[in-house]
Amino acid sequence: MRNAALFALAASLLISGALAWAKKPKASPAPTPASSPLAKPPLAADPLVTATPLAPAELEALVKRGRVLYQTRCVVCHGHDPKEPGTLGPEVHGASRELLEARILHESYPPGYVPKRSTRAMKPMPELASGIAALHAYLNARED
Amino acid sequence: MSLALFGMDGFLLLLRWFHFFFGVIWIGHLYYFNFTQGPFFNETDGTTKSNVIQKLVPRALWWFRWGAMVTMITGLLILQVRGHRDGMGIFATSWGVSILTGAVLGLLMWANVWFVIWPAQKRVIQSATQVASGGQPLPDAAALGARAGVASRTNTLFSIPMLFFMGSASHLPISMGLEPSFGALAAVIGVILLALELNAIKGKLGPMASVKGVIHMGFLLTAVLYLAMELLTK
Repeated sequence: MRNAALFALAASLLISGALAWAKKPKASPAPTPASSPLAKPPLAADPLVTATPLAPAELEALVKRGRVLYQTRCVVCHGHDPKEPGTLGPEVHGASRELLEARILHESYPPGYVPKRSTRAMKPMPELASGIAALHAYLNARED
Repeated sequence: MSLALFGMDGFLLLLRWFHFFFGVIWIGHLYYFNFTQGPFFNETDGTTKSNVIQKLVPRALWWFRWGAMVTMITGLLILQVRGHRDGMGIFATSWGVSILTGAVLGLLMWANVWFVIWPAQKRVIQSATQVASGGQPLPDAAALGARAGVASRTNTLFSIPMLFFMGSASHLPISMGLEPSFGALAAVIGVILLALELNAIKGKLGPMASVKGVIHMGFLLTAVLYLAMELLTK
């Protein structure tokens, strides 16, 4: 009985370790300080500032930064999948830049916007200001 | 420099920290009583048992009941602060339904500790102390000890779904339909838990008599409550 339990434990550890190793993403280039998720993106990369669309590689980097931010700062209320409601907050996929700024910085809504919830659980997170462009890119990213 | 700890979020975090710190103290002792001390008492001799009852159990019960008290108070405070700050509507969400189910289980457990287990064990300890000094046992001590046992087993039973719903509140989004029947869900959960609590106060151990039994029943109760939550919120 005890041997069976020990075997099951060892097997599950090995299997989950193997799965984690198999899913490990390809090694990316060594990060520079400017690649911190909250680092201000270069002006040329901010989609609202430039008239021309981002190059695919730049957009991909922004989406990736946004994903990191979302999965660490937003999921506890909005859930892992932005297209589905979370445990406390509604679905947020497709949020506009104005909506994100209003919700993240000002605890408010853009003029004329009809809120999905009447609760006031989302408090301002001013430290995320420089990440809004990235979040916007992630939440509006097209599927591949 | 502004420290994150000195703000409303920090205050809530401190409440949560104390909630699970004292929760560990409480539930750790609950599992000690049910999984460790109980089987030990079944095997040991009368003198050892009397010594343990007089010198070990009172200390364990002290940490047990005060752990329960602080866990309960901090838990209610968190709910109150959240409701006041964020609006009562948060309780009509997946988070709210889960956390309230866990909270009800926790409150029943707290009540069992302070109003059933501790008063009964006080008599058991007093009886053992009297016998050890050559006196007579208290006539109701054995029955009270048995009653405390059913209540304690019930707390073990409740602790399993309680921990599940505390975790699922923020980590398992349950999709709510357009018109969830919260009333029906509250009634179903209420009836199930009330029946089990009445059994704790007046009934028998049943399948909870063994350690394995109470753990299996705990998982079964969790499954039943979770399914009720999924079905009645669509």
